[in-house]
Amino acid sequence: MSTIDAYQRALALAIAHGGGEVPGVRCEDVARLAAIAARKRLAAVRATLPRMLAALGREEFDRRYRAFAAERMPCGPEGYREEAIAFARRLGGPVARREARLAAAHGPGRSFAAVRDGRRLTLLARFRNGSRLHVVQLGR
Amino acid sequence: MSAPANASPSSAPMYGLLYRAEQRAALFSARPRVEALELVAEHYLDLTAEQRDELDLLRAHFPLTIHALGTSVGSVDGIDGRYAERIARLLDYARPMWWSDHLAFTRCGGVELGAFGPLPHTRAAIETVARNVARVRAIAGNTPFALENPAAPFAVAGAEMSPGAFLAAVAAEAGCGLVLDLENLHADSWNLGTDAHAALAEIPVERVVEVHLAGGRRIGAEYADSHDAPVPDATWALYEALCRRRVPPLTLIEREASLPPFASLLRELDGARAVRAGIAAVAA
Repeated sequence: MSTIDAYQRALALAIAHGGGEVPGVRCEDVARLAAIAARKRLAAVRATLPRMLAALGREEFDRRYRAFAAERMPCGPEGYREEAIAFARRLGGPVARREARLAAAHGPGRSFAAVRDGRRLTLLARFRNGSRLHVVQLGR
Repeated sequence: MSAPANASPSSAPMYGLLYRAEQRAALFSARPRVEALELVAEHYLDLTAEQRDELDLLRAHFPLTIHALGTSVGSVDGIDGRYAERIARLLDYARPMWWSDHLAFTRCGGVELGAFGPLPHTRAAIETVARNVARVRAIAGNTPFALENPAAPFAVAGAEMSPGAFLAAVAAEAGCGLVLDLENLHADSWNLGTDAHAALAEIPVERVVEVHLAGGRRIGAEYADSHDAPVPDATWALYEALCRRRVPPLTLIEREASLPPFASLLRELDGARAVRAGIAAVAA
């Protein structure tokens, strides 16, 4: 295995497992890179779960997310949404469950979704005049 | 690669923004002052009906560039062919002037790092990148490709050359252009103790197709390249130094978060234009 090969594989493993020896890199530098990746993931999860963020408050939301993320493999931008859904499901409770369903139903490939929660029906549509998410809620 | 022939209809330098959908109305009302847009590839890889509509609208009014995050050109595992095929479909649809990604690796051994893993400044890394760039070009087609210097969270031991020399050597070996993020050079000078102006002096300006200007913030003893703040004086100074050698084909204000009023971004674009005008005035 070449030097660059050994370096990249060790760094990837260290990031995945929250630390470890990486040839040519100090432990604190590995931790810094892991922190950068974690900050990006956290920002994306906050943006995907605004109701849970409001319900828990930023400090508690972040604390619970960090505990959740510590047990998972890191992910890149394309995995952020799936991670947010998994986190909401882990949180449990009606608000989180509903937000997980909303996020899951309204993926990037869908312009319309309907989520029923008891007597409440939520319709989501991504309108073509701005690609912004508009939520229409029917029922009580 | 020098500036592509289709860089601009007039070949005059252009000044543009990173596209944010939430500022679209303001963008169109200010269109003459925004001459080009950069789109993040990951927002359009599915090419849904909505994404196609948005691309149709944007490309009808602006020259575009596509900026990707996940090519992982520095990975010893090579290129993810499926990702490259999705990029190819996007390029085919959006028809940008060029596309770019970061000089880093983001995946290895089945692990997504979720960040830009810095490369050692070695011949082996240059050969790895050149091999991967050739592969991604074979899949993604003829759209010109450029590499961006990411901010480095640390320097890998065993460097065989300086950061600027590494960037120059990679671009030459891979035969591609450069997207020069001057705020990342500034961040490196804080975090690694490098000399940003010395690094800039080593960069072959004829390969620079695009410049990113942005601002970051201090987090403890570190400087985060968060791209969520106004362009700081140190980065403006780098821009002026670059423009004294050659005004880049495209200068972009790359505000990624904490979006300010749109007028602030326009003022920063005008600031970039003023740098060029000031240099021209002195030369005259």
